[in-house]
Amino acid sequence: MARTTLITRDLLAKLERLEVAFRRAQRGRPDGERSGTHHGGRIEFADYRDYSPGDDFRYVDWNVLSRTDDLVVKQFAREEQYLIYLLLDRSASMGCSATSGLTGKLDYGAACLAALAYLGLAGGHRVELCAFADGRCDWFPAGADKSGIFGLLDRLAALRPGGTTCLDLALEEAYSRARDRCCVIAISDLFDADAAQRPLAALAAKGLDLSLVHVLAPDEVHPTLRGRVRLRDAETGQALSLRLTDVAVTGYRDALRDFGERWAAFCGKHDIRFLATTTDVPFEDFVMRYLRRGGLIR
Amino acid sequence: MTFGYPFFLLALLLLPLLALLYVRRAGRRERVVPSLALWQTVARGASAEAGRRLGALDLSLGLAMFFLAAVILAASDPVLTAPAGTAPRLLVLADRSASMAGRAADGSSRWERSVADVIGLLDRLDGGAVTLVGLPLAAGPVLDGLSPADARARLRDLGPTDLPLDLGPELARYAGLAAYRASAVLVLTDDPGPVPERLGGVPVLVFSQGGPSQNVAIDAFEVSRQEDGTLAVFLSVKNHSGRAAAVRVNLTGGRSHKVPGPPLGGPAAWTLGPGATQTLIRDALDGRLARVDATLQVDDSLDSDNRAVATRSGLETVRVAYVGRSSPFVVRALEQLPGVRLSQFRLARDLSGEFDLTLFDAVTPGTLPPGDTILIDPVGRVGPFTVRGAISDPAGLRVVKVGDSPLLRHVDVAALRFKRLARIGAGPEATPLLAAADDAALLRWADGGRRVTVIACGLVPAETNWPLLASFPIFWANVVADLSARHDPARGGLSWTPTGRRVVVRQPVGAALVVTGPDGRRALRPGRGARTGFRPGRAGLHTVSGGREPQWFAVNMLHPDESACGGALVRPSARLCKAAIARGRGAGVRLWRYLATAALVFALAYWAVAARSRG
Repeated sequence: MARTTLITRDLLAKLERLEVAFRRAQRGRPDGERSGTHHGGRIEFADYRDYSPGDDFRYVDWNVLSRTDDLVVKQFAREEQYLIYLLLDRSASMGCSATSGLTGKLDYGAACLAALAYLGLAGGHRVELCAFADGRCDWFPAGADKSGIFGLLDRLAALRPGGTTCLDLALEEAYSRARDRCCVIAISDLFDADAAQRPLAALAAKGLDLSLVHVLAPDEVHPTLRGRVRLRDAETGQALSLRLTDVAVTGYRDALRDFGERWAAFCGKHDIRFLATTTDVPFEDFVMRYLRRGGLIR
Repeated sequence: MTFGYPFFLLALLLLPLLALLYVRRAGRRERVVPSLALWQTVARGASAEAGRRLGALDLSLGLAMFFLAAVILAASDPVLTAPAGTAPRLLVLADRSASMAGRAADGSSRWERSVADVIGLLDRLDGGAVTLVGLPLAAGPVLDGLSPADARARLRDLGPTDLPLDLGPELARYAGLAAYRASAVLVLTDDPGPVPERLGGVPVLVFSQGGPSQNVAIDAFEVSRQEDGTLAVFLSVKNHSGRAAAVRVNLTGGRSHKVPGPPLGGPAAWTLGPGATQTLIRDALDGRLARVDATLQVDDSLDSDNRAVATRSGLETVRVAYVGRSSPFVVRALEQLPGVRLSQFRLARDLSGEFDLTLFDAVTPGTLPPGDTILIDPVGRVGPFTVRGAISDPAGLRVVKVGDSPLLRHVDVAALRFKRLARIGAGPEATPLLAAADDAALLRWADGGRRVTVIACGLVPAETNWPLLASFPIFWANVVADLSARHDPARGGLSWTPTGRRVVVRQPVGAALVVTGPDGRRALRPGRGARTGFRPGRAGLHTVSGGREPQWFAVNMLHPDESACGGALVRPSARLCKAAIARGRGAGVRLWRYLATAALVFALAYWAVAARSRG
């Protein structure tokens, strides 16, 4: 897939107005009041509040006072540099459906990560990509400025689905690499990924900002196939002969709903953002609306 | 078993191929899914039903095969032929119209020759059932469940009538009977054109016998009264055949109804070319003639249209009793009508004698007299009527006609006003004829031999302007005409009725009327009120006796279509029909309906099985 099909210039223009939202960002503490242990980052005006006795006169906004006779002090937020890990499942199951404008769940996830990576790079954060499958995690550091997006797009475009999923391994590697200001965003269909819950819980316990995007294809949610069929597992190659009736399909959908609810409950329990989508949701809508609504970007 | 379209059976060869494709398609579909984990939970629940699913597969496949087989077989139109020695169920529709009396050169009529063919066919049947229907329906008979021997005997007894017949619509009436009661339809006719190949899906075999024919007929005949009281005769003769014919016309007339009178002038002799028409007019004839006969002398095949007769209908006196305060308007309107003999009574109890019509004007009789009765402005309760107050309007209530009654023929009600109308309650069997808003100004009620008409207003200028309008005497003329069943009373000429049309006869109170015509003597059934009637099937003079005086009615077979058919060439077709019967074609049971029904059942069952397997 070419870069331009992953992320378009129009979308890039819209992304310029957004940024990655970190839930554990510290706000309201003016720079210089107390020296931090973290390096990097910058001070940015955030808001006004009424003056109260004891406030530092250096932060009184005299312009406002001269215009309105209101004594207010400026508040600042420290813009700190985060390390953003973008984990993308490239197992065979991510490539076995193609119903959206993109060619499948892998491409949809890659495009989503490209948008998030661009936002991270534009915000001055360090971004690292990890594509994992078949017991292997390919890490790619994209850098900490916008110029890194091109290499990342090339890497994403070169991804091909194959092998079994190993989300647990990718999370464990992320755990070992993570530092204090770190954000992990993983995209997967979560099939056969129950083993990933343990490292996810560990990452959450470490206080990292975690997000999990669950991508499914529409025909996985609403199977249209009926009658006698032979189902083959995309990752393991195992086969299962079934007669798909409406009752059977309803049972499958119930199981899928339970599956999603289990993951949502797990993520809720560990303070992990959980977003579920299907590839028939237009990608731009997903980025501009659903990711914002889900709190990944603002 | 035979098949109408056997080539459709080749489609049965596709069934094994379709079954193979069905099975292969069901077994070869494969789908790659991201994970089997979720499907395995479904499979565990479904494995218990594996046997049933396999059964459902086999059942649906079997139903689909049965459905296709039934459709293919139905399309091939299979006929289950009757076993050897079993006769079919026959519906014999015999055309008994006038043209069937047409004779061939050897003197035998079309009817006789066609019947001989049918009898020859029935002779060869060992058993079975025959339904015999004479056409038109007025000619009858309708005989069901006859054995072939009975049918032969009844056919020999029957003959053509003088009735007209429009064969196409008449045959269509029997499509349902043919579909449910017959395996073959035999039609005896000399007009095979309108006969369809199948009637109600049943094959029709036509027995049509004829040959070269010649027919010259009286097409029009009228005896009218002139202004000077004399009579004039108009006669039109047409040659309906394809070759010229020499014709001699005789007119006779007399003052007696019973026998033809002396010649009215010399005979007219013409030679008519093919299709030519010639007219004859004789006028200044004696106005007292009671009967005029016209006769053609010509060598042709059909006799019934070579004669015509016109007559006076006999009794014309209508006896009317008027009971009440003697309204001068009503009395004068009735007295001016010719043939009305009016008797007046002051009170109902004074009423004595037999009358054709009794009027009660503001008088309420204890019981309704037999025959026709008119109640004018009734009071209290009489018969089925009850007076429940009145409605009034000084400006006059308008009325409108309800329905089409002979009493209101040519009666203009636009200017009619009623200042007061009695509100009359009556049962649903009473028919309003004139209505003002929700109330009736004129009602009619009939029960067996009685007809009662109610006028809900006094017929005096203080209550209505009707006596001052021209429609008033017209109404009373209609009353008397409806009562007396006069034939063309206004013109005063001699009249006749075509065969097949109902003749209305005045029936005196308590009389048992008998009609005597060329086809025999029979009693007339009592009709409603002072009327009854009969439908003549034979041409000639009919005498109705049993009343106070005999009545005469002239009936003629002057139907140009029948005359034209009598002169038309009829091609024999019986030989072909006999051959068809001999081969047994059409004598079996057609199975396509049953197969189509079975296909429908299979389709529904397939749908049900598919729905069950889905749900």
